[in-house]
Amino acid sequence: MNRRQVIYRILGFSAVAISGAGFWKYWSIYKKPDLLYLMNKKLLIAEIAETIIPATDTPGAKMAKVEDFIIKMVKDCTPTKSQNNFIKGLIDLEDYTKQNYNKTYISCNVNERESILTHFENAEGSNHLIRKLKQKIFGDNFFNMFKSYTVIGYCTSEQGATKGLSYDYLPSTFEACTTIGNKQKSWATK
Amino acid sequence: MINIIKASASYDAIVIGSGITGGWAAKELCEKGLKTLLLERGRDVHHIKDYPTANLNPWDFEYRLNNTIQELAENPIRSRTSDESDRIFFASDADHPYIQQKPFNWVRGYQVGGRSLIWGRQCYRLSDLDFEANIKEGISIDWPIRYKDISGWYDYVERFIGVSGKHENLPHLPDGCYQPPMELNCIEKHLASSIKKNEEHRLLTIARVANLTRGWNGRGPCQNRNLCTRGCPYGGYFSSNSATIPAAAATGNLTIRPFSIVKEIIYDEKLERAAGVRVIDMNTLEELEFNSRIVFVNASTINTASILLNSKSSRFPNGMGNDSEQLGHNLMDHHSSSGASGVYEGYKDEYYKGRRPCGFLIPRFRNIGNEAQANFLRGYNFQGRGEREGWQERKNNLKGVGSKFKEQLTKPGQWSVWMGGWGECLPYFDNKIALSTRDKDKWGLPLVEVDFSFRENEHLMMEDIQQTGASMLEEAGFKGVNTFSYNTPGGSTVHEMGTARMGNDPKTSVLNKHNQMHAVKNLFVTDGSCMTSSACQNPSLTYMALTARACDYAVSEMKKGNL
Repeated sequence: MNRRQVIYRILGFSAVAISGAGFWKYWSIYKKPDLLYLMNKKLLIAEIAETIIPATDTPGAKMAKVEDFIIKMVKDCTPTKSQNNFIKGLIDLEDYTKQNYNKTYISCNVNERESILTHFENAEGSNHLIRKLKQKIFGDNFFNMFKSYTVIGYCTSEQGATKGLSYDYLPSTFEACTTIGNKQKSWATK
Repeated sequence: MINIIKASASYDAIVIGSGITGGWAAKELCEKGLKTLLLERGRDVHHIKDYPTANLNPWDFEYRLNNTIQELAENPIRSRTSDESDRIFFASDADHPYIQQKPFNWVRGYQVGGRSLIWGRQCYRLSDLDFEANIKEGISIDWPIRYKDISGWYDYVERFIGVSGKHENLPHLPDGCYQPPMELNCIEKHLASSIKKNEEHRLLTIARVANLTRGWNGRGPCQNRNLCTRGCPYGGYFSSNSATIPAAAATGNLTIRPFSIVKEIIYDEKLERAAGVRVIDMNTLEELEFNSRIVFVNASTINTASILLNSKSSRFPNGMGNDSEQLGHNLMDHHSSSGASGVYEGYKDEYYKGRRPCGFLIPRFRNIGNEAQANFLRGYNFQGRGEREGWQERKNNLKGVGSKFKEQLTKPGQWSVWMGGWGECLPYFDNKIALSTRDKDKWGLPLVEVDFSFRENEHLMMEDIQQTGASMLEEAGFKGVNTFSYNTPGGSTVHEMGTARMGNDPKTSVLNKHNQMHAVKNLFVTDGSCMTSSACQNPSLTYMALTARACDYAVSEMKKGNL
């Protein structure tokens, strides 16, 4: 099957999926996102980010203020469909936590938090083609987006770049082949 | 809206456009003693002083180098190739609309220095394999020059701009005058030795780039920051701003006039020559005229053709110098959207330090020698780079959360190589630009319509690129080898050329072998529009060499009283 055939099949499937999903689904992904909700959940966002990249011997997501970056990205750099997915994902995560742990995410310990996030990471399914297809029709997946924004926010922050990674502001020379040890962090910028 | 003001000043020469060739024309003409007016449609950009983002860290940018949804929507072309750090050097699509008959990415740099601030800096010579291809294959028309006509000018240009690179002694990719080369890293060396062992007629070498490995003419050396497109405060790479314009200004013969949109070139019917140019001042909207003895048009391929098409007179009702009806036609752009990538599991203890501003090159190997080797004409080279994966790649393919995830994320990942084929595009008459008869821009000038597509020959080449790329990686022991074809539209390589081609016969070409307009002897076109075929090499070096050569010819003709 060549690339073009694959695309046609995906488009065909998209049409079926969209008409089947009906108007409610359409509305729920295209409606104007409730960005105020996002601002109110800053603390939760910070804690989820910290679960993904915790403080260890180097700073974690909270020290790098990754929550500010995530909110900015969702507000200004994310298409409407994906914005709605992000907000709905936060609500789902809170509901899931309440149902399964009978408390808020913030009250959960590290193990519980990691289990919750792992649940959401696994929920997106592992079939690459289906994942791409879903993304094409319904926008980006909540947890994917969250994790990706957390990584970008952390690795481009001063704390993350200079302490979590190796930041070489002015390399001067290029050393093409260096020998490294176990402790070597990866370069923050390319 | 417009007052016509006759400018009092008259010049020996006018150069339209201050990009990579306009800067060269200004330098050469000024150094030869001509009072030269350099016109630029955009704002002024001074070397170093006007590079406000050059020294910023990632965290200094509001969106950490991500484009907003608004920017993507308003400037779909600009946002493909730029972000917060270098957007100031890319023209806004919203402010400068054009019409795409078929999708075409027209990337523009409207400022003093043009796209020389943001170019890819690769410097490869053409050879007779390229100059003779059209005549041998009966495609289009013959180039009016051969390698011997330009080789000395390549030397001349390379010695001024400073090019780092390695001699490889290939007849079809001639060696030049180089500073010490940049260095391949260990995965690139690994691939190079595998190719040497397995492929008799191929080699992998470090890119030849206008990034300085030694200090040169008061500039550089390159500090290996790989932030070139923000403008380099070290002058580590060649641009008009860092090199040719200062050299031109040092003669005392240069006048730069920014915010000057050229409306048309004025034709003197009696003298049968270009009398000067008519300009719209972007700020005052006044229309001005400047006169000169010679005019160099260096506005970049599409804009050069559109200025000439808009320069109508009773002698040239279809645009200046357009007796052949070739003006605006034969638009070419390299394709560079297919290739292969893979990962390598070894060399776990090896890394690199610094951010080398270039990758590697696998020079063209298809259809060389007597034997036709492929089911398409011409060829392509591979450009690529090897690196260890970082957080940028791993954020989406590393599972898990928490301290273990963090530890893996912040360690160097596996080695990977990405390489794409930069392929020749044949000249097709109906790949073209034209002026809209309906739509105008905010200065009242007709919008440009671009009608361009890649054809069968280019598509066959793209398939071959994927296969040969993948097999070279597989032979070298790479895993997860993956081929790709992004199918990006024309313009995406930003090597557009060919709209006012050179040729021996005025009936089939716009310019002669000196880049001089057949029908208007005091008018020269030395940007990409002069190209008769595209070869597969990155073209800027050739444009610069042709510019220096044409300036030399123009001034000698002036001295002889012929111009």
